[in-house]
Amino acid sequence: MGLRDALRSLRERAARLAQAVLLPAGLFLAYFIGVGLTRLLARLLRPEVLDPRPGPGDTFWREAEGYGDDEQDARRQS
Amino acid sequence: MTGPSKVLGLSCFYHDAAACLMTGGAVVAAAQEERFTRRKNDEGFPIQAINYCLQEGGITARDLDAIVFYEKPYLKLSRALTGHLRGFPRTYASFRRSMPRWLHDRLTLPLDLRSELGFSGETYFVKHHLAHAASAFLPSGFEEAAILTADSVGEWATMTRGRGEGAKVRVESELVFPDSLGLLYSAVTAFLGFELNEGEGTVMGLSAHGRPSLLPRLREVVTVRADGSFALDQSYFDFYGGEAMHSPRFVDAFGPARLPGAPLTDRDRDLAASLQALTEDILVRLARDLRARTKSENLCLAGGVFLNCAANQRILELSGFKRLFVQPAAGDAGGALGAAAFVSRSLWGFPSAGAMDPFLGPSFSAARAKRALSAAGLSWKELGEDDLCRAAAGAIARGGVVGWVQGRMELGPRALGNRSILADPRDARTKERINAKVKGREEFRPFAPAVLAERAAEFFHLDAPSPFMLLAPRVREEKKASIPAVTHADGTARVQTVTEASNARLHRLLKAFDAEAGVPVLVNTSFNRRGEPIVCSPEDAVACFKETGLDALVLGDLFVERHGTA
Repeated sequence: MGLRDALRSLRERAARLAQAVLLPAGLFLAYFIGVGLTRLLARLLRPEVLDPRPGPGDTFWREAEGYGDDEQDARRQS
Repeated sequence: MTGPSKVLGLSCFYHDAAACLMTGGAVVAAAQEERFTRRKNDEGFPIQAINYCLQEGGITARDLDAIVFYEKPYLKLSRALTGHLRGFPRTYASFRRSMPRWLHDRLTLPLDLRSELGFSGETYFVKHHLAHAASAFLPSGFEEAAILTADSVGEWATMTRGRGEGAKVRVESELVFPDSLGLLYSAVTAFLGFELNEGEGTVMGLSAHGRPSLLPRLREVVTVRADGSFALDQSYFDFYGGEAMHSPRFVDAFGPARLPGAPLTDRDRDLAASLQALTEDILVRLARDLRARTKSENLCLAGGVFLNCAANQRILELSGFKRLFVQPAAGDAGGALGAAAFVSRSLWGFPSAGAMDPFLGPSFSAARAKRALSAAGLSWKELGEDDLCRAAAGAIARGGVVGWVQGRMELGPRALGNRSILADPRDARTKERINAKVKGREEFRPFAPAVLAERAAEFFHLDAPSPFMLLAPRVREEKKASIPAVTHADGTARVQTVTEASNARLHRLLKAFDAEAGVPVLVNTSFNRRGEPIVCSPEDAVACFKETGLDALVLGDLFVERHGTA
């Protein structure tokens, strides 16, 4: 195995290791800090987001939004 | 007409990934990825289905003017994150599983299309239920219609209603997550020990064996308004990352969940019957209200909920609509077709190329079929159409179970006579024979009939076409004894009406069987073994023939009998 192959193998192993460690760590932080804190804020400021309840009216239908039929709308991912 | 004309529709990353190519308003090809990968309900990026569609259209991805995805990914992500917020901290495991997929595939689709396919045109995103609505209305052949869509959940919507007129599809109102008829049906399906996104049809079949004795209790779970709109009492469910979709309160109300494979009890049968009754009640109310609001006589349906043929039948009978069109690929695979049709017709203005033809998948040559048979050491007879139909009809009338593979593969979950297993409906034991030889399904599940359209009213209480096997009319009392193998426990049958125009060869076979056996009806079930996708290629069909107890196989004009094994 030449030096170049050895370096490439080392790089690949480092990338795999980083993915194995960094991704779970990042997800852990994103979940417990990001989602957790947002939940705390939502509980204080917008509790209905966490516990949606149906309205009291005589229908549960709501007006549809964002179903535009032009190309501009179709280009949007949200 | 100049300007853009070639559009590829895609559905993937949830279940039933599919691709659909349209050129100038006409569907050129459409297929589900599972048929190529042989992984049932494959949800992955549908690269093989895409390649097939492009090949069928004689183009490459560089020739496409647009690719359209059947969802708005960022909206769907917002719903997923809200779910994690509501379920925190129990949703950590599913967060860890799903987020890498979002980052890797779902939010990077335009980039992936460029790097994987070399595509450089426009990328569009159509809302999930708009794709369903378009798949229901645009190929329906109606000039105008009311539209109802329902499934588990798209981005946020779980059900929509609206109108179609000309080439325009308008979604007017929606119900949103977590109030979902599809999720309710799936939650009970899982509670009864059947597989999610697969076992719902099994529960529908089971429902005919029970009494709706638990309907009052189930009504406490779902608040239904007079117009059919509804809300689920969330205290009975856990849609946010729990092990099951139901909560302990659901167990308190209905008893312990059935484990997969455990013997079925009266409670299980009655719960299935109650769920089916509630589903039908809600859908009929929704359709009646829609009829009153729109005054239309035509109703178009799509979304996985409308694979429920018993409910569709009730809608047709009780809603006041005179004509019904149910998209044959009502589930997510049809979203690829709907998204492409929306861009092609509603945005680009191409005229309709005619009503829905479900035979949009790969075909095969006689040479390829012969190669597949030779490679498997099978001998065959090559017959003209009349002789072929007579030979197959004779084999079926003698009690044979026959694999029947013709022309282009169907889009959607039903085999409509091009990738089918056919058998004799006159013998009540046919069901056990098919299950023993190849299908291996639960004994309570019915098999469906294909019938000559012009003779359908003789056998069934049916005065509307049912070309896609999505209606379940009652079998006429005097005919039940003549077709017991396709008469379900509740006296209904999931009928496919066959005309010469819809499937000429199956039509001819039904006539040949009528001449041989005296009934223009055949058992028609999908050509696959339990847990496998429907066969696609001649090689798939030959492999299934070799590994099962099928008595004969017809591949195009080639007729193979079991004793003909070399």
